[in-house]
Formats: sequence, C-alpha cells, structure tokens
Amino acid sequence: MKKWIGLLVLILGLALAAAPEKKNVTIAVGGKSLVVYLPLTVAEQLGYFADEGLNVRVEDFKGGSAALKALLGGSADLVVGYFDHIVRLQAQGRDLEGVVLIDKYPGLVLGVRSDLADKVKTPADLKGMKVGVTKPGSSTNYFVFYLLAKQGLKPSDVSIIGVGGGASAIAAVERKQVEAISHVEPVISTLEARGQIKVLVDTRNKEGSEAVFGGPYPAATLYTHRSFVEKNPETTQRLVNAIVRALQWLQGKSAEEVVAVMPKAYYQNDPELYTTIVRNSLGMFSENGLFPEEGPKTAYKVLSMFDEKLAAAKVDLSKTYTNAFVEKALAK
Amino acid sequence: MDRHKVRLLQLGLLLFIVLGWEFSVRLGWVDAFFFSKPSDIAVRIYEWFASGEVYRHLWITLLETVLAFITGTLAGVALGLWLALSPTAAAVLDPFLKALNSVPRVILAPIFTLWFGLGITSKIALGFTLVFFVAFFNTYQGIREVSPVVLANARMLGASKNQLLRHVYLPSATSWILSSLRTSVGFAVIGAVVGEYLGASAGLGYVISQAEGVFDTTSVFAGIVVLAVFVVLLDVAVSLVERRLLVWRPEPGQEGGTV
Amino acid sequence: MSTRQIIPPAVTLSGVTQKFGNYIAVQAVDLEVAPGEFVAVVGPTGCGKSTLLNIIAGLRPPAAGEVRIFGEPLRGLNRRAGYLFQQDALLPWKTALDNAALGLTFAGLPRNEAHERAGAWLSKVGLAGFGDRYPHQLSGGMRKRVALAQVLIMDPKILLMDEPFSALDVQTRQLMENELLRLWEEDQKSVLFITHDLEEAIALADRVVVMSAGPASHPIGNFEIGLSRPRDVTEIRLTEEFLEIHREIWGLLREEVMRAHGQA
Repeated sequence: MKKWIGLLVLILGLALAAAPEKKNVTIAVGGKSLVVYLPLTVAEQLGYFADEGLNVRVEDFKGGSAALKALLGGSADLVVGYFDHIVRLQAQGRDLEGVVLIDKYPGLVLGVRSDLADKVKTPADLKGMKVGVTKPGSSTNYFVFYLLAKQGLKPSDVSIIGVGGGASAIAAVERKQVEAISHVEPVISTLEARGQIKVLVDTRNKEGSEAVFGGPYPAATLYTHRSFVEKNPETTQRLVNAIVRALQWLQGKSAEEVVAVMPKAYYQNDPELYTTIVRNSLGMFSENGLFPEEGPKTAYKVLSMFDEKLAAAKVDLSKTYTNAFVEKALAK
Repeated sequence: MDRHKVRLLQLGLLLFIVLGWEFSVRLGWVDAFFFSKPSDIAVRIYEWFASGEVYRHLWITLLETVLAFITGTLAGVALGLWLALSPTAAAVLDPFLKALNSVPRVILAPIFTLWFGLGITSKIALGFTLVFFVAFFNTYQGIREVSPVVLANARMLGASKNQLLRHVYLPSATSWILSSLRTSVGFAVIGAVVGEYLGASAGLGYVISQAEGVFDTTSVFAGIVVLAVFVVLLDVAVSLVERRLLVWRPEPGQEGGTV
Repeated sequence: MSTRQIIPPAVTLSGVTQKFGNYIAVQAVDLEVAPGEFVAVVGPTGCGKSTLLNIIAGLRPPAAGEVRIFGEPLRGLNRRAGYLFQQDALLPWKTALDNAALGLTFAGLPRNEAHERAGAWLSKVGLAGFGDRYPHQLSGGMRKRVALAQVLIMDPKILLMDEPFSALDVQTRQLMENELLRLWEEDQKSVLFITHDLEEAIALADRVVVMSAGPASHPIGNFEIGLSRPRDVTEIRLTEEFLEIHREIWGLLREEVMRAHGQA
C-alpha cells in the first residue's frame, strides 16, 4: 500500500513540477576549450545539464563575435561570451540579457617580450611600440587602451597589431613582430612557459583586477535575448542552476582536481602546462554566479572611453543582466 | 608504366618526407610546438581509433560529405543538362553562375549557419556549393562535346529528343561527369570540414579546430592525416564506380582493337 | 494522259545551293537518283560532296533549290534514308549488338526482338559472336561492318554513303566493297555513294557523277557504267572495259583535282 501511495505522490509531484519549455538547447561559444569558459565544460562533463532534464548542445565557434552572430541570427539559443558584447549590443538597440556570471574578472593579461623586460616596466613604457591583441576592437585591444589612458597616454601612442587567437599569437611574439602582447589563456601561460614574455599586468584574479579596474569586471557570461528568457523561464532557470552548481563545485578545488574532470583532448598535448593555466585562472571564476552591481558600470565606463558611439548611446545598465535566476538557484 | 616502380617511388618519397620531418624535429631544426612529429601523430591516431572516440566525428563528416556530394552532383548535372541543351538559358544564366562561383565559401559559412542552423545542413550546404559547380561545368562541357557525327547518326536512325538525351547526350557526358566526381568528392569533404571548423559541435573539422584552440598541434596533424586518408578512400570508391560504368571506354593511349 | 504509274526518282535535287556563312559550297546542283540505282559521286576534296549528302539526309536544308524524295518535297529529316558516315558514328558506349539494334530500339521494338534481328544482321555482315564487344574493342573494318548492319537493319529505301571505306586499308576496303554489293544485290536500294577514289566509284556504281572543284561546285560529268553485275571489285579492275571507262572519266576528273590543289 505504502509503495503505491509513494508512487502516486511521485507522479503527482512530477506532473505539478514545472517542466522546461525547451528541452533541447543550443549554446554558442567562441572557443569552448578556453579556460575562461571552463565552468561551462565542467557543467557538461559532470552531467549538471542532464540532471536538470536538459539536452544541451554546445556549438564551438572561432571567436566571440562568430558565436554572437549565431545568437543574433537565431541558430543558437544562448551564448557564453564576454559581457562587453551585451553592453555594446544594448547600445545598438538589441535587448540582450546576461542570466549568470561565469568570470568575475576578465583574465586579460599584458605581457612584454622577455628581451625587453628591463626596458618596459609599466604600460607607459610601451610608447611607440607594437602591441599584439587578438584582433582590433576586441576586449584585449581595449584593455591596452585603458591601461595607457590610466597613465595619461593616448591610443595612438602605440601600434595595435591583430595576432589572432592561437598559435599565430605565439609565433608573432617569437618572431619579434610585436614588442608586447595583450591576450588571454592559454596563450599567456604558453608564452611564459617558453620564456618568451614577462607578465606586466594580470587580471586573472581579484587583486590584479581591482588594481586595474578598481573592482570586478564581468567577463564570460551566459546571455541571450530577453525574449528568450521571458518565453522560457523554466529552461533558463535550469540552465542557471547547472552553471551555478558548476561554479560552486569549482570552489576550493585544486587545479589537478579540476583538470581530472576535463576532456582529455584539452590537455593531452601538455598536461603540465594546462594544469598551470588552470591554476592561474581559478581566481577568475565567479563563486556564485551573481552579477555585482558595480561590475556592469565598470565595463561600460571602460568601453565608452574608446567607443564614441557607445558613449553617446543611452544604455540602461540594469537591462544588461539579471540576478533573479541565480538567486533562485542559490536558494535551493 | 611499370606499376611496381611507381609504387616503390611513392613509398620512397613518403618515407623521405616522414623521416625527414621526424629527424628535423628531433634534432631541433624545426619547432615541435608548431609542427609536432610523425611518431607522435601516429600514436595519437592510434589512440583515437583504439579508444573509438574518433568514430562519431568521422561519421558526421562522412554523412555531410556524402549528402553534399549527392545533392551537389544531382543539381549540377541537371542544370548542366538543361543549359547545354538550351543556349538561351545558358546565355542568360552565365554571368550569374560565374558570380556565384566566385564567392569564397569561407564567407558563405556564417550566412549558411544563419539560414540552415548549426546542424549538419549548413555544412552540407557549403559542400554543395563546391560540388555543384564542378558537376555543372563538367556536365555542360560533356554535353557540348558530344560527337556531332554520333548525334547525326542517332537522329538519322530515328531518335526522338528524349531518346537522344538518354542514349547519346547522357552517356557521352557520363565520362566527363564521372571524372568530375573524383574532384567533387574532395570538395565535398572540404566544404564539410570548413563548415565544421567555423562552428560545430562534432565532426573532423571540429576536432581539428578544438585541437588548435589548445595548441595541440599533434592532434591537428592527426586530424589532417585522417582527413587525407578519408578522402583517398572515397576517391578509390568513386574510381571503382567509374571503371565499372565506363567499361566501354578505351584506356588512354590505346586506340583501335584486336583482330 | 498515260495510265502507267511513273515511279518518281528516289532523289531529285533541282538547283540546290548551299552556303556556310559567305562560302558557297555547292551551287545550282541538279542531280537525280533513280529507284534501285547505284550512283557514285566523285570529285576532288572540298567539292561539297558531303554537303549534298547532308542536304538529302535532311540534316541541313539548302540555301536555295528543291529536294524531292520519291517525288515529294523533303521536309525535315529524311525518314526514308539511311546514312553511313565517313567517321565513326557508332555509339562508343553501346555494344556492337546494341549499336546494330539502335534504330529498332528507337522505333520502340521490344528488346528481345531488336536483339534477335540485330544478331541476325551481325551474322550477315560476318560479325557473328562479336555482339558483346564495344567499338573500341573492334578493328576499323569491323566497326564499319557494324555501322553497315546498323543502317541496313532499318531497311531504308535510300542509302547515303559518305566515303565509308576511305579510312580502311586497301584489302579491308575491297572486302567491304564486295560485302556492300552483295547486300545491295538482295533488294537493290537507291544508293548515293560519295568517294574520291575513282576506281571504287566505277567498280561499285551504275552511274558516276563528277563534281567540279569548289567553291560553288556542281556536277560537270555524268557517266553510265555499263559493266555487268554481279561484280567482284578486285577482278573487275583488271578488265579492259574498266580501264576504258576509267581513262574517260579520269580525263575530266584530273582537271578538277588539279584545280582544287592549285587553290589549296
């Protein structure tokens, strides 16, 4: 008898529990294996999406803007990408909204070529030099401009060279095509391991980020159209649940423990280097997924320093993110 | 041509390249970071197949390739037929086709993603655009190259327009079409892999792209090698079909017959 | 008014002119082929012999003049003529048997019947057992024989032949010429046979027409051949009558050949 009542209760409970509007979800990301997006892979690998009853497919693109285009074009439901894009697109009238914060700090690093390390001690010393960035107009680009501005220099005081995202960036430094480089992992640690650069400015953690920006600077975010969120609140909630769970799992873990759950393909080439990269980046991840209020403000401030159109546009920063889903996830 | 000699030379050349590469890296002349080395690549390929993880990706790329190949060939042959037999249509469409063919497929990739989504359809579409033009141009040419004597003969023997198409034009064009198939297969693969490279969740191109992202040059080259073997196998399959269907054609360099 | 039915000529050309762009190939040609008559047309190269054949076949209408087939004006393709081309016209992708059966296939005959008849014809031209070979597996002479079967199987009333044996070696050519006569004797079609080989023309034909050198070529000589039939082409060449006729026609032909060469 008890068994039957239990079963009935279970069935009723399941029926009454809100079902996700969309079971199959596509998330676009520009470089899935990048350590800045590591929590996404953690959620996938540890089955957190599946636990939430979701079938998530992660589509990997060759860069943040390609991933964003997939979202805008309608082929992807959500994007894991940098918060900057949300601000920029809100200025263009696109109502995008971040639903959970993955990286609280941007992980941008400025490094100088080892052979010039004694001449260049601060960003101001880069005057007249060539600085490599992923591509002109990217976060790595604006990072350089911001650092220069803080020391009273203008963007035109350096030469910005787009060196791409991968091996080409490494080659650019090794072939002395640039004197300094503004980039993210794994390029930074790889260059360091090869003795090619010395790190000048490091925002892969709280201390470095606060030194540069005076506070948190939201970076990797799970975001989408507000209309998607409104049409699929339960699905969104479950996605956020999974990400928050992954972020919480990461807390207190050692780099080795984290690497152990990642796909072998990510590190099989050089497990030691990968572990180093993870170790250097653990400080970047948000511990709970909440957007700190000052964060979007800082992002907007930095971006509008160099983007006149953005500065002119009225952006309602409160629309760029919501903590509602994260709070519900944390309450569980 | 002595086949054994050719094979020996091929083997020799291959060994030269592989050993040269291996030793250049081991001796430090070439940076392993950017080039990996054959021994590592071989091990990686073995691991992929031993663990079976590569089969899923191979299957996806194969599916995309085959579908692009079939749809592109059918459409190309159909259009080639139509335009070869209808000079007005050919004249009208000629500049449009040339313009379309000049668009770099890499540029089309995100547009196709927009139209067809992120699944295999957009990759098939990319392969289609490459295969289509090869099949089209070859069919068009093949039909226009039909021997006028054979054509006149068939007409004198009473062939209707349909019969001409079926018994003269198509078979005559077949040898052109079939020879284009071997090129097309390669293009179908390229289309599929480029599409996967630029945005996907599975497939050989995806595997290579991922490996690139983590600086795993060994896997990049392993992917390239697997891809190359893949294309060669497909080419062999097509040439077998070609030989079967073209049994009536004399070997090049051999004319006339016995007795 | 006579009540006798007059059978019109198989082929009548009246004032036929053909142009290719501005080039006048043949001009004001009058030619007749009586029913059952074997007419050979000789002339130097470039004298428009093939052009005439194509006009009679209906492959290309003349720029001027009239073409009548058995008295009726020709419109479109000449359904009553068979054409043996100079070049290889067999379909290379079909077997000898399928090639021989081709016209029947086009006419809608069921496959078995077409193949049966084609097989019989291949035997007739001496190619029994070669039915499953492709043209590239046959010698030049064999291909010509298949072509012959291919044309004759349709039982055309008119046979148009464009230097059909010129690409063959001398022995094979003579074999084929005898073969042709043998088959022709069976039902006496009306034949128009083009050649530049005067000996061949005389050996085969009832009448030899000589064409002038181009451009604007036209018939300039008409010679009845009184040699008796049946003939063997090798033997007949050695007879006195043959040599006599040959001398006569060659006198006229040689001038045209010189003229053609002078213009070359």
